[in-house]
Amino acid sequence: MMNWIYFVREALIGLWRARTSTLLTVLTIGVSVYLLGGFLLLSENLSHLGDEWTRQATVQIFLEDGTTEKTRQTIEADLAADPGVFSFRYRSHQEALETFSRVFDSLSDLPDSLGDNPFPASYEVALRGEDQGRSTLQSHLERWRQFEGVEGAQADIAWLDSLRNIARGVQTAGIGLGLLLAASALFTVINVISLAAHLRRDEIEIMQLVGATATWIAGPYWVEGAVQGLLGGATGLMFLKFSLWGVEWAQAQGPVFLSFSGTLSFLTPGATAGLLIVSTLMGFAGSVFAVRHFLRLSA
Amino acid sequence: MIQLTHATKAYRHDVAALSDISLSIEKGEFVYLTGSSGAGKTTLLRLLFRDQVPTEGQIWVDGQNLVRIPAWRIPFLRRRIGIVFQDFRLLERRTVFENITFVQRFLGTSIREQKEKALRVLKTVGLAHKMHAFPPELSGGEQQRVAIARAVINEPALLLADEPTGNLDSALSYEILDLFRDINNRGTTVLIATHDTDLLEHLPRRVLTLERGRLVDDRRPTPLPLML
Repeated sequence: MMNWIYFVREALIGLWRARTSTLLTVLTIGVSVYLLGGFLLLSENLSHLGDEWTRQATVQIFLEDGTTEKTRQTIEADLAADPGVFSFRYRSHQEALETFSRVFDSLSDLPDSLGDNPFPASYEVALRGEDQGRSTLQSHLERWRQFEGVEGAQADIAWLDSLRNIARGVQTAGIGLGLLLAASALFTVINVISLAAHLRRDEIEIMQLVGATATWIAGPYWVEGAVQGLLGGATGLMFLKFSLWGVEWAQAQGPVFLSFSGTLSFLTPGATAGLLIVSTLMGFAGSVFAVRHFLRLSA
Repeated sequence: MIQLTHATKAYRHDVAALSDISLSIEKGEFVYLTGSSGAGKTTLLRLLFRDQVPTEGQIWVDGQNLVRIPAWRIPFLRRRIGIVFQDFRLLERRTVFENITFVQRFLGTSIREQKEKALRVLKTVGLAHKMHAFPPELSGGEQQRVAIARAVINEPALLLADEPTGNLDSALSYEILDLFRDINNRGTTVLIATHDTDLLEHLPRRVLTLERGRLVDDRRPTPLPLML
């Protein structure tokens, strides 16, 4: 216990004495954690966004021309009995045409030039929350495509798959970049601690002469490295939080296409704690390497 | 206490700093190691506190073979040895108290006991009133006395001193020498490396003389004639 009090006290004195290099190390680690955390945050939010939009997606069941009333009743009975279906609505030939003309005003004369109304009648089906996952949606589509009188069934989820792929890409790129930055941060810690040990080499030599063990000499440097890592991690996460607030503020002020503020969320407590632990371990590992190397050279 | 058998220390290009040294120093002895600059005095002391390893021969200190001692045992060996240098080697950013109790701290000695021990050794060297001063605030003689206090606070079996009076005037040198005598009287083996012949006359004791890395003389003081 006394050892740790000594280590912490000496480490804090050492950090304060070398304020500039301490700040440099903390910022270097902070930038790595900020970027790594930023990529994780982005990929996590893109993934959540994909999930949310999947849940909001409706399924279109297109009917063949000339579907009889009896066939429709059969389909509607099946949809009503399906526990996964939250609601459904029939959209006739005519209604589909009117919707097209309303949404694409400038193309409203296109159906006339094509002759017959080209828009099929359809059902617009909304699924229940628990049944809106990607695999459930696929199995519903497969089943409904088999119905008599049904020409096809589709949900616009292909682009949501693309969104998920982008999220995964962002995550992979983030981890790759984060590892590179972590290596550079580790290199900085090693150099800063080596420099600190070099500046105190006379003191270290005296400690060795009076019988201090390697642990006793290295302990304060280990704590210094760990504290730098922890402070760097906390700084990176703090700026990440500020950045998220900035984005949310911009959404509130900005154009409608950015209005998905409800889906933005910070890293999970587990990921936050994980980044802090990783940055602390990085500082600790860097100092262990630096001091071991220094003591080996000075032995 | 100390046993050297054909100890040789050669550096690069086979330049021998010490050649074939064999000697023995008993527990409780007071011994001078003398010789001109470059004779090998410092090298011999460095071999004794295992700062260096002999290229040939064997060295035993306080029952331990220094050629075979594992690295992790060296700090424990050094806690049994007090070392005093010509340039004092004090931690300048620490007080006198912190300097001399440094070893005590990592031995886990309580603060109260550290204070008691510090006060006792500082009284011995006459510096009890400077306990909270920093080394740069002290004179050369005072700094050397702090270094001696640091060396003896742990009650070492062996005290090694490398030119301990080299930076001091004659009067202070004799004071320091008297301190070493007092420490020796309490049972600690003392080995002082010096080229100052005045010291040898002030306190006559066994003298080992090195010349170009070889032990050329081992002289014990002639006992005083019995006065009838």
